[in-house]
Amino acid sequence: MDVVSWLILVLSTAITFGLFSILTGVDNPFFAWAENTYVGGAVGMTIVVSFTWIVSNVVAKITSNISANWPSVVSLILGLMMLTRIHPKYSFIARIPICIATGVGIAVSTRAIVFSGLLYQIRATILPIFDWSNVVTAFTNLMVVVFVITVLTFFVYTTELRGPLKTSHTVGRLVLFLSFGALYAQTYMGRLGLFLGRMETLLIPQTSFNISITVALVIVITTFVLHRFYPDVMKQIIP
Amino acid sequence: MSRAFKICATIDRRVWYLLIFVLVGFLLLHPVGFPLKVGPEVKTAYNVIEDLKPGDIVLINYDISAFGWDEIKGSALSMIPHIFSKDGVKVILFTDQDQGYIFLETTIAKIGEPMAGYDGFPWYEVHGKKYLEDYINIGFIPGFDKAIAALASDFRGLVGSTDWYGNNIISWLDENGVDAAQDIELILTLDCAGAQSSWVNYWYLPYNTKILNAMIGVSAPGSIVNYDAGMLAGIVISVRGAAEYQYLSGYYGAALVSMDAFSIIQFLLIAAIIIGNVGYYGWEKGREKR
Amino acid sequence: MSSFIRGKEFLLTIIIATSVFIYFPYFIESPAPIPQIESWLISTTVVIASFAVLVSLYTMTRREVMKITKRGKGWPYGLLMIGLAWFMIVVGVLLGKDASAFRFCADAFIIPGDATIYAILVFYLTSAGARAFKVRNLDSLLLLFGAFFVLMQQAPLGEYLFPWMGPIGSWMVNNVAMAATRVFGISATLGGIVLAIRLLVGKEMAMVGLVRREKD
Repeated sequence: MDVVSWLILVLSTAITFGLFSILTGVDNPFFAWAENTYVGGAVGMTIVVSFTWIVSNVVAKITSNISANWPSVVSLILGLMMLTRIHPKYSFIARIPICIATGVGIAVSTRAIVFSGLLYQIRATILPIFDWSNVVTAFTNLMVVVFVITVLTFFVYTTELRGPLKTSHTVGRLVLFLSFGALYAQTYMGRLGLFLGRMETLLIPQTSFNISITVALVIVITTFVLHRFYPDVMKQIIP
Repeated sequence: MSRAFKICATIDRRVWYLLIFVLVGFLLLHPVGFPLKVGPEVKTAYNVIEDLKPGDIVLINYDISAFGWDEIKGSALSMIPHIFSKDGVKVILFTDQDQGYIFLETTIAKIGEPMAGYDGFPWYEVHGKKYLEDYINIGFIPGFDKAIAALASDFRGLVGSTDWYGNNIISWLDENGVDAAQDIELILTLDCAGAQSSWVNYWYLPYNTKILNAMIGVSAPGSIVNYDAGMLAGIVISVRGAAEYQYLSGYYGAALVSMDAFSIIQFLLIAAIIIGNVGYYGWEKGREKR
Repeated sequence: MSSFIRGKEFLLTIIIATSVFIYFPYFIESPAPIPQIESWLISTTVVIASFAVLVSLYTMTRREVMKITKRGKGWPYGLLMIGLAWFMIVVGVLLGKDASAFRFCADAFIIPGDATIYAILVFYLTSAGARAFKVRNLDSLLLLFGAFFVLMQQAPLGEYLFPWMGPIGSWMVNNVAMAATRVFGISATLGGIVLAIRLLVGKEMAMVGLVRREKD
């Protein structure tokens, strides 16, 4: 393994266990280092990738044929107007591109979600509930219709809950709790999968395993020693 | 006995953390091989790719950032080779995340090999498919849902004349008849940020394009709703779905290996909940009453 | 001139005009320039978003420089943060995103950091399960049942040891949780439509930075 790859392995392991060190319950300099390194790097990366896209698409189009691509010039000017947000006296100029972005964003999202988020979902809820030739399907369809209607009534706040509406509201609340448990389990599955993937990268192959154990021990022991025997030093070096 | 209940109620959370680390480490290094059942959703997703015909154009979207890569790489490293193994199918790679191109290249490097006479990206051959002959990489386009909407409304205009590496792709797009969104047969979206709703809104609704969605666990509820409404052709949910797909397709990988640890840690959570309740009813509730 | 540009009417006109050019070609077959204007508006929004990120860079740099010059608590970490950010920007802009120094920083710091930040949540979810999932009433019992059956269905070992839990867990995910998520989606859609209408009639100008000041 060459030096650069080894260095990447060590630093990536250090930043991983630095972030994991918050699990000890003790604020420590390794976590502060890892957190600030990650944030700085992430900002730098986002800027570079966005900038690269602007140069390779917008600027390249303009320089190749400015008369045919004059709309790209307007786009670039509107983008540059965003930068006036920095100056208190001229920050009002940035409202123009913000308005364009807001108008486009609102229109692009709402024109389609009327169908996908409302009509298609309602259509998918209109299920055959009277055809009992297949008992399981009919029961499932009935339950889905009941669940959707009762959970919808749970979110009714504008009228007094009485009679059937109150019953529906109560059933909706119970369905919601059942579904929150299921959603919690799915969220847990997702985060666990992420953690397993991370651990797999740290433990396999043998080189990664050795580095991981070494780094983890260094961080845990140093944190323990600082916290137990040198709390004043610890206080000074954490943000 | 009350001492035992008190211990159950007051277990330091760091004990659970240590148990998770130890169990995961042990089971990843020494997997047992618990049996795995393949669900109907994954089988459906598998069949969608199996049914691809020569001449079909597939757009693969890497809606992947580092925070989701470890969870979704199992799906990527099995579904993408499966697509590449289909004869005559052409592939366009794309990403709407600024880190996505890194994982795209990681995937290609893992599943392919460098083309003869070439060095480095993008010149990789994957299952006989060569770069700029059978597949291209148009790279990152910023804007998330706006990029997806813009691709749908003006595909050639937004893609431009070059790929992510500066190679001219006009002839490739012309030869393969890729002019507009309607020419794409299938979209595979690997989601960390819920891009499937944008693909549904801007590609399925107007053009009826088939969409396959592999996603992280947190995005699963939204995808299941759209799958149930018929707007998604297939879904592969998180690591479990990836393991099932790896098993079905034969492209075995880390997701399958991690299923043992996956099972045991979920049992650990159930044990933690039970122990917490035992402690609550045996000690804490009595303390509340007193 | 500047008072005209600052005015609510001018900004609202921009919002309405851009929205019309986006809505119109989606629903009605439109003559040639309108779909082109629609595509241009969407790509311009992408450009605007890219420049907006630069504003955040300025804000972050200014805040950290002030902390460093005043030797505020934790100033070395602030120096590290902006030092790395600017190093990556300079290298990435001058040498390109494929430069070895840029990729080194990405592989060593950003990718593992990003992955770990979200992976930590599994620990918090586990300790939360131990402390918060206490069965005190019917609601919490149902919460527990929902989590229990789905966890057993998700775990391959659970499905193997207790095969009858698999169909129950799947049914809960595909019907109960799906129904609730559908309702959340419908509610969010209705909320989005209401917000769009309020924006187009000028009732939500705070979104574009126009805040009505209360007179004392």
